[in-house]
Amino acid sequence: MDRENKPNLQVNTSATPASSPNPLLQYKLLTIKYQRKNQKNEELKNTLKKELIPVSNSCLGLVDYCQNTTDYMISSWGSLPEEKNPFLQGYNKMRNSNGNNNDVCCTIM
Amino acid sequence: MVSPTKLQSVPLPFNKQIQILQHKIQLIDNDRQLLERQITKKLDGLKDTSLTEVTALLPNLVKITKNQLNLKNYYNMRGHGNQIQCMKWASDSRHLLSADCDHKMLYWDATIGLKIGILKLNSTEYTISCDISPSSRLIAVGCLDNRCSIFRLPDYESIFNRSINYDNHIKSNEPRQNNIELSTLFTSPSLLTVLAVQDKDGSIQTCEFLDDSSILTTSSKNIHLWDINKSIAVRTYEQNLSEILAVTTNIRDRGIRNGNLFIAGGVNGSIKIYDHRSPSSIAKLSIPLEYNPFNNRNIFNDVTSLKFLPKDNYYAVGTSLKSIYFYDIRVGSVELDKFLINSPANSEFSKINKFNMDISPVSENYGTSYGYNASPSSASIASTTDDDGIMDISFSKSGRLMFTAVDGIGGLVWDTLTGCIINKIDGRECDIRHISVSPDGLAVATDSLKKATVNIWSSSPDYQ
Repeated sequence: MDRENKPNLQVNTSATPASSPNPLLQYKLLTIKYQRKNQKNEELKNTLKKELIPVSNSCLGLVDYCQNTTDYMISSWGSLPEEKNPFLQGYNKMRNSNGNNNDVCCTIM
Repeated sequence: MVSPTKLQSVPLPFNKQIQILQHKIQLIDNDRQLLERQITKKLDGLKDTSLTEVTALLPNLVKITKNQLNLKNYYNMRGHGNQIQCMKWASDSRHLLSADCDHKMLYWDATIGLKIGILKLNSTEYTISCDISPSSRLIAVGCLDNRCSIFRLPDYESIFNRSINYDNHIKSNEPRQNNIELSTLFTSPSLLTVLAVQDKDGSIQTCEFLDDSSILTTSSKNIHLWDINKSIAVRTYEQNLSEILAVTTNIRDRGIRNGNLFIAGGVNGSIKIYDHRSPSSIAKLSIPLEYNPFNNRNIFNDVTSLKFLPKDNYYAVGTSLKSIYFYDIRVGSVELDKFLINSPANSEFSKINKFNMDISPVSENYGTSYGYNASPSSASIASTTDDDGIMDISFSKSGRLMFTAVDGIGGLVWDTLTGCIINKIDGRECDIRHISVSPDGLAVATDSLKKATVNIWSSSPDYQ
């Protein structure tokens, strides 16, 4: 209300840069702020320029890939014959060897 | 004519320059608001549907039920005495490397279910991560002491060929002269080099070989790209604002794919996409705000696991509140879909939850580890702090099946296209922490926390 009683918060702008550090500091801070904001704006412009495809195209591409790649873990693709399944081959070999093999697994104490 | 440069050669006093700067900043702020509005408009235009909506419209989509999942437990490989920290397949899809916290790594032949080699490490530091190079000649071990050690893997094939004659042992009844000496199984691998970061920013959480001469290591604040031959960090990607929790790469998926990207996901839902050829991230996004029922607030979830799908450009993000998001790099920051364990279609599996129990002192359930009588509304403090969410994600060869290791629930198999959980991979156990599909898609490896085994699952012809 009373204008004379208001504290004077203004920076002493009449002082030269060498004598008072406040304007220099303020200037430095503002330049940094300006650079950061500029950089952020550049990034935003880049995202705007990017060619992005809509979700529907992307989903259809994924569905297409999933349905056309053979996956033996799903039984509708058929089962893998023994020659092509090394795990089945190894399992049968272990089962049929009846202990006469050297593939003994050691127990670590 | 006065040249313009002469006018500007007198430096203005600082107050004038400050005013000019403030005016410029005001202009930039206006520009930024305009740009942000344009971007939201563009992104809204992209989000026209979701993955489950698209698949619901397709009439020919084969539904996958429990009976159609062809997975049989082949082996439960014992040998580790402690919790398994990391498990990686070799590129030939036959061998597996697993590390536990006892400075011991085991090299398995997963097709026969036996260990081929035991690698004892000399250091006494806690091992957190491991990796095996595409040529299977080098292994990397990341420890709690900020060091990633590269070792040369012993050539077990030549050791075996010297000691065993496979054809003879079945036909003849010779006494066991061709036994492998036990000492050759226990090897201290020869140390090639130690890659150390200078700043103490935590442990080496993941190591990924790009090829035999370069490796990517992640700690909580930085990602370093190393040149192994020179033992220097070629590039460092810094993550100042959010700690990194998960990293995935499609750079070489065990020799099958050759992409160039890796993604780092961290705290508060931040996801950054990097190209290993460029010095900074090429894209940043964050997962949407989620409602956290325990806090009654909308929060940014932590990203706890990430994985690229077999089809390039698609990746899945697992969060600490047990939701899974799908993204496509070409779509940008709009998610394709979000899968929840608590959805109505998956109600059968969401009831099996180790942590949804009431641990107030007067409750009778105090101290039980499997709270099958779960009520989602009685949330406990334990469920917010101890819950790691989705710990590991892996995809089958076609991407149709998604294997997830969920904290407190165990291993779940999802149908990627419909978001329904097909089955639980490990029966009544709830202690799978790592799950990994082999590079050629023929087998799945899981680990068991309680029994410290590595379990191998694969397809079987006589599966009904």
